[in-house]
Amino acid sequence: MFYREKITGHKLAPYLFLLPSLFLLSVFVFYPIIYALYGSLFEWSVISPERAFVGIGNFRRVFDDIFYWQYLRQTLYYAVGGVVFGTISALLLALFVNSLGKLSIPMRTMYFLPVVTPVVAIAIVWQWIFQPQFGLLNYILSFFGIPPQDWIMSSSQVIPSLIIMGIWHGVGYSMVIFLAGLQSIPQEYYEAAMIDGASSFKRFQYITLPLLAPTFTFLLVTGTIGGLQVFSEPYILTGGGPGGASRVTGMYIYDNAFRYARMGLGCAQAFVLFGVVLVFSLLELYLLRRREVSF
Amino acid sequence: MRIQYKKLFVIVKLIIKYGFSILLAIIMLAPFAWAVSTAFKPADEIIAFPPQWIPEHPVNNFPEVFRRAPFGIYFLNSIFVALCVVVGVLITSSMGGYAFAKFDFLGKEILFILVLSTMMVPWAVTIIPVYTLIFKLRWLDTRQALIIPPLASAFGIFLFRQFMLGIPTDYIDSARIDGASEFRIYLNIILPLCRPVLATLALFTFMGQWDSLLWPLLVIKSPQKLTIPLGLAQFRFAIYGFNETNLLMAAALISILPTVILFLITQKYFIQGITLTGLKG
Repeated sequence: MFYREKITGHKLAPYLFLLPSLFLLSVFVFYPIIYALYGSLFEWSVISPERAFVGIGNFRRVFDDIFYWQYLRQTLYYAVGGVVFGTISALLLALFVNSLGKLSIPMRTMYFLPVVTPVVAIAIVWQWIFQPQFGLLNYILSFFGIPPQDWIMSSSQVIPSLIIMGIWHGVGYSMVIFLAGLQSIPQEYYEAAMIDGASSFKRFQYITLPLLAPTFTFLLVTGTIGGLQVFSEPYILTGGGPGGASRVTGMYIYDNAFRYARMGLGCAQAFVLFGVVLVFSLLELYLLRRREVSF
Repeated sequence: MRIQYKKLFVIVKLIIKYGFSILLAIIMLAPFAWAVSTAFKPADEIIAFPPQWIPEHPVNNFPEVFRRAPFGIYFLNSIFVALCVVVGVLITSSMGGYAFAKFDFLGKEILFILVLSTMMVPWAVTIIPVYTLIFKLRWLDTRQALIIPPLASAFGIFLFRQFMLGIPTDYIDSARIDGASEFRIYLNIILPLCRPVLATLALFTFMGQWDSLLWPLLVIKSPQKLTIPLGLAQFRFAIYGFNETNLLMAAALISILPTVILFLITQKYFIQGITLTGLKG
């Protein structure tokens, strides 16, 4: 009995080790979720002691608010567009870099550089790049005979512009993850396929793609969750313009809670966003899990 | 004759491959080059069209940037906050991960799922209550408000747990038989074995804090407490017209340089770490 106790260690040890992080998570995540849920039933603000019970009034306001849904659509456009194009580009990049042999290491470093660059700085630089008259992009396009575009000045092009900037920023990250996945596929599979006479496209289709599926799923889901919550990029790059065409849900919640002092409404809006995030994550997981193949 | 064609084909393929990779590298690096180029231009060269890559009369705009806004102070603020958060996260996450990896206790599975699920909660849900808490604690506009909330991170716990699962329990068992205290085991046996995760999480957390805009935007009001993203954003909104874009680019470069240098030095760890997170996902 004495011997057994010694091996499993002090009984309280795990709880003590967990105490700091559990305490922090409780104070800054668990309790706030409940507080936000409760707070969404009131009209209040932290700067004034008044508060009025409105029940589901805030949620009604959210569902009736055409701006909320417009901004949510725009956010979705950004998130899904960015994630799909970004992940596919990353996969293609990874395939290409993987075939470069020795050159792949410096290439990997260079493609990763934008990932470690602070977002605020990126947005400021790209604001200058997108500039219609003097920016780099239109200058390059002029070499191909393409007329100058309005980019972030145009309400139809602003979200694609944000997506372009986002892909430049993030593709290195996804590429590195895909590279790791690619390099973990045993060469024997390809060799066996080649012996059986499979073309390189068939090898890609039946070996590479299915084995990369979990990585794909992971990147799509985490990318969507992150994309739906975007804030810094549009805040700096466009401020939500032109005319609210690039205003994202995160910015709208921020404005309502902290500039218009309507924290109850902000909480309700946040929960609706939470719901959307959950729905999309579960949807993606479901759709993509069916296609996965494991070793 | 046939053999010569084949050789030619291989060489051409190689040239195309390398050429394409250089093209891609140029695309990825072009914005940096553009920023550097603009940062050293005098005012009248900024809006030249067609734009020049190399300024005709390069000017050092950095002193002017520092004169306009105290970027040195912003820099120190950012470093202080980032380092504190890194240390805090490393300590709390390694302990938490250790508990989940190497112990059995009541409610372990449920607790772990609960911890992981916090990663799915949008910041918008928690930010209003947390702001209210900070307000009531009178911690608005303080450094602790910037440092303590980010310590609540499930990501680190997840990373450490995954890694520590691979540590043989024999080390721990024999240490226990020898009479070592639990904390000693954690400190002297487990932690040293976790160097890769420690390095990776430190880098990730540092970069995340260096980049953080939303929370400091809410919490910090005093000019001397601004962090670099805030200072940069403010600087951006204070600049009108194109003739000061060179200052803006210089300021952006000040923000970019530290993390880029940090990355170049610690590349190996960084890429390794990302691979760790990606594969386990």
